Amino acid sequence: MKQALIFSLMMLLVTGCSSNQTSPSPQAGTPVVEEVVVNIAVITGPTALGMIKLIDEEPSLGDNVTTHYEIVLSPDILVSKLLSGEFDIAALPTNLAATLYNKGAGYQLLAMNTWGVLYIVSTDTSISSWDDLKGRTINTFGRGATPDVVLRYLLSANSIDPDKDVTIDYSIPQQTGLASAMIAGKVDTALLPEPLVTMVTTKNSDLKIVIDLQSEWEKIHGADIPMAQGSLVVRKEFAEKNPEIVAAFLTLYEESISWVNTNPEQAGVLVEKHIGIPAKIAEKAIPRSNIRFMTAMDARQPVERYLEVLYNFSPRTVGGKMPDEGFYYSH
Amino acid sequence: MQMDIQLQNITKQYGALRVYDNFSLTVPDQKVTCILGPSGCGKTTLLNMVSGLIKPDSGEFKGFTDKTISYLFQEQRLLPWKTVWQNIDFVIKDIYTKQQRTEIITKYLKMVNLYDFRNYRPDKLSGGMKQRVSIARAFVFPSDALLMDEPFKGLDMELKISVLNSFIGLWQQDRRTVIFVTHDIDEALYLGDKIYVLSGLPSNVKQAINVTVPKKERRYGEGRLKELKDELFSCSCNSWDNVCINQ
Amino acid sequence: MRDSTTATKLLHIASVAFFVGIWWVAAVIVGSEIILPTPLETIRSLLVIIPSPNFWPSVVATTTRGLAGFFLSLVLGLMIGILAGLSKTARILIQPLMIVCRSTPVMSIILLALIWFETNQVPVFVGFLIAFPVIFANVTEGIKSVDQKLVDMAHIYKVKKARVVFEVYLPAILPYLIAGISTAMGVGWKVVIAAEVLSQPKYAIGTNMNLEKIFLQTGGVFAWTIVALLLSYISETGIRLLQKKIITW
Repeated sequence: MKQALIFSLMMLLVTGCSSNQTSPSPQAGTPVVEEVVVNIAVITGPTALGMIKLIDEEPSLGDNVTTHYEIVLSPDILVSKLLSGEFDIAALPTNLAATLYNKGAGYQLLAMNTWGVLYIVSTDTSISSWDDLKGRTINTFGRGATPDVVLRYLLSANSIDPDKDVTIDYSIPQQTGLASAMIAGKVDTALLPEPLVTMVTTKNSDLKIVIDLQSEWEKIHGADIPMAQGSLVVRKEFAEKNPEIVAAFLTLYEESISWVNTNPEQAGVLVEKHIGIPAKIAEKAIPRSNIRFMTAMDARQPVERYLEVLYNFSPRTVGGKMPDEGFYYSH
Repeated sequence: MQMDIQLQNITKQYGALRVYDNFSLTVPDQKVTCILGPSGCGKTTLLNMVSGLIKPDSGEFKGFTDKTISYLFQEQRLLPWKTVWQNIDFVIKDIYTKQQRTEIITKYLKMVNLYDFRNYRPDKLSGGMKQRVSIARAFVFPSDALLMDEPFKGLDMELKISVLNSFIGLWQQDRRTVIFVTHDIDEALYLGDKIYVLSGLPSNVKQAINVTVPKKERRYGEGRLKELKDELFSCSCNSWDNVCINQ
Repeated sequence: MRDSTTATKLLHIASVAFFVGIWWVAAVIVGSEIILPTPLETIRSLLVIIPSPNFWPSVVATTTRGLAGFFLSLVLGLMIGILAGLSKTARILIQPLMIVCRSTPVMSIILLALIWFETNQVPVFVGFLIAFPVIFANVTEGIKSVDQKLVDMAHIYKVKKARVVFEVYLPAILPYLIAGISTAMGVGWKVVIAAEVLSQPKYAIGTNMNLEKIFLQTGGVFAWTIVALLLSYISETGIRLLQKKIITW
């Protein structure tokens, strides 16, 4: 009892002392320097690939700025955390970014990072067109998630009814679980993103990429409207208070992306270290992941066109309406 | 086969308590035999042994092979989710055809004046009515012998007499061997043809009398019955108020 | 008499209105449709959901799955419950299984079911496994409560064993059984829908609820929740009516 009392008193003193140190009393003429913590999140997958150099080195974004990088398992988990404002910068599928913005969650589009990572993998190499999928079962993870949305859109655009002409099987709801099932031979045809595509084709030689959704998209829309699949968002309030930190981050992020693209082998090593995907697989997946940096302002046109396509297909996939200009972060 | 039932040298012990020790008596065929004794003295035990629910430690029941039994309990033991009719039907469903059952149940319900209540459930009946249903059920069941364990206990006087009369009415039509256990002398005298008076533990027959008054002429607690009652009481061995220990 | 029933009804309405009012105020204060939609937004979502072609197939599908699970638990719970009620050996043998069924976290059951069963069967299995121990417990309790005197009576009158089970034991345990069904259904619908959220059958209340969440249509989540509530309420009322009809003593 006595020990507990002494211990608690000590704790109080320690915390009391440290809080004194971090908020010094303002003196006339001296600016108050606050410690800023930046919380950054990526999702396991290609968005993590682009940022891997930052995750590894954790470069400084300024004086008195600490950064925390977190790797989240899936977009829905990330969305819940964004709703409670847990992150200042986060990677997110672009259509989810638009939905969040439209619903007033306080996040803006900061930059684009991935322009399509979706592929249909199958043991049946005779599949080469959408028609070949008729009557078949395709597995995908997550009803309503971006890959599902894009798949359904492309099926419909190619005159295939996603509910009647094919069977879309959602019974394995996590992408890693689906990958494991493919490797184990339990699923023969599925939609997967990189780097899982490389992983399953490497580990199970029966599996091959049969349809590249990015090129299929381009067939319909031309190079003018690339598949602006993955983006980074920033918390509006944070950006307004710390524009220099945001700018510093964007510079470093662009560097990281170009480094990853030019040094896939070393990037692979880092990916294995931080995310657990084997280095060789990450190395092979990088070129297929279409990782390219673009600021929100620069990317506005392609993003808008991409969102428009989705909006016309099903408005709720972008949050019920097209986001206005406030969606695009500008310095 | 008509045969008297003989209880021979019945011994029954519960732990240190010897309830019956070489107990013998004869139950005359097709008559009402009363076993009269204080409450809690093992009369139910005797009936349970006769009915086969429990076994005596030693001794035998002669003339009892192949005899089927009806039982009238202290509580009516009617199934609360069945109607009067269904309750009686319950015990003979495996024995008679539908047609036969309809006839029999109708007959007996009328005899106990409950035919109009045949579709009532027990919770809608009075205590006396429920007891009459039990009696009808006991008679409807084609048994050779009817065992009764203080079935009229707790009924108020007027009700008791009416139920006793219903019973007698049934019995006159269908004379079965009845073993009737009670602590109430008036009941015993009203119904019984032979009465055995039991002592305290271990139980033994203290006295045995025959009631020869024709049942039609018996009046409850009066007349010849009252004389017999006084006779029974005059025997000094009949103070049994505190003789038995309640188990 | 009349006054009190009208008064009670008014009180019910007032209570509901009060809580809806609090909901409204809270939603306005929070000010974010994604976090807490207003009652009006919820109603708007309902008006979108109900006429959609997805609605009735989903409701019917969830109802069917739930009822299938309950029915299975009823049959097995009854059979094994009667056995355990009558035989001490049986009861001891079954006990470890029942403890596991009862205490395993619902999520464990759902996750395992996802591995073992196919999509549409998962919610049925989960519903069954949750309801089964409840029915079982109620049935054994019911058997224990059967008036031994009635059983003795049937025995003395040499009634056939099968009839004793059906005409003495079963009616005796009926009140307990129905209470069990009511309790089981109370929890049952919740876990069936939770299982649906994870197994994602094509037509299911759970699937739709989850989809609304993915598109951040929280009003839609609330709306489907109301549908689930109604389902639960209707089944509970149904059971109560059944109880009144069957148990007439």
